[in-house]
Amino acid sequence: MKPFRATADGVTVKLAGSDAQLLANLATQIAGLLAGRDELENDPAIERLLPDAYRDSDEDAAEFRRFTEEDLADDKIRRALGMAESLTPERDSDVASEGPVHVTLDPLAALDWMRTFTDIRLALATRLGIVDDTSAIMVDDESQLTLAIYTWLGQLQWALVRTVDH
Amino acid sequence: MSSLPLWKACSVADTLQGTREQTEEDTHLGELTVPDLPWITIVWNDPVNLMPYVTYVFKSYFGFPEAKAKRLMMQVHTEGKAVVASGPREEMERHVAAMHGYGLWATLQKES
Repeated sequence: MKPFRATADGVTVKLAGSDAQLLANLATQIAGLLAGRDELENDPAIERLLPDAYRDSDEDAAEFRRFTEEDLADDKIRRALGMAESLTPERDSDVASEGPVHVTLDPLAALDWMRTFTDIRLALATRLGIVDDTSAIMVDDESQLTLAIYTWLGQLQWALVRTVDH
Repeated sequence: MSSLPLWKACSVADTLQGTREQTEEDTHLGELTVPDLPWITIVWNDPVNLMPYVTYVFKSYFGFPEAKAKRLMMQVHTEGKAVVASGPREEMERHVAAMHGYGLWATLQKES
């Protein structure tokens, strides 16, 4: 099953119900992480999502952050929540439907999804200790599921980029 | 995407002020000078961002043709970084903020 298909107006998405639920959950978690960033000090995921703009001047980096961070974080939160919402169709609560979820994305929404895929993967990568191209991905048993999700998200994002940029 | 942040107004005003002072100084010296553009935007390699995604961002945000976008993406990948833009500081700050919005790791600095 191809999850993404190009149409005249954008992209159609078809995901298994459980996959859609997982993706919506991850997107909601990223939004929550960013929204609660003030309570997290030196969190590597936050530092990677909202990096310094200057390498050689802490002062310039702080100044830049003061003027841009809120907008940047708000945009990321809005995009992540938008993805979560579109993956959570209203359903008759009496019917525990596990059927596939269909979403239609216009070009801008498709780009928003790509960006949210990136943000989720960046956060997961810091949790998994993936810091450079050569770092062997060795994780303990507890993190195997996270690694599987990270890989799956990469495949999904790759497929979406290829669908849009064909 | 997002509109121009308010803080740009300050930066632009500062720049204009700086230009004015520069011009007065130049007049005193009686020399013709070409304004230099000493700031650059650098995109750094990271192990997370997918190669086709980085190419797509370079194409769609900067408007680079496919070949240039791919070349810069490969430069980031193989050399660890690439200069993707140069120009006035305010413009580079805008590019860096945009790259962060795409999840790319970007910084700006004076051209050395």
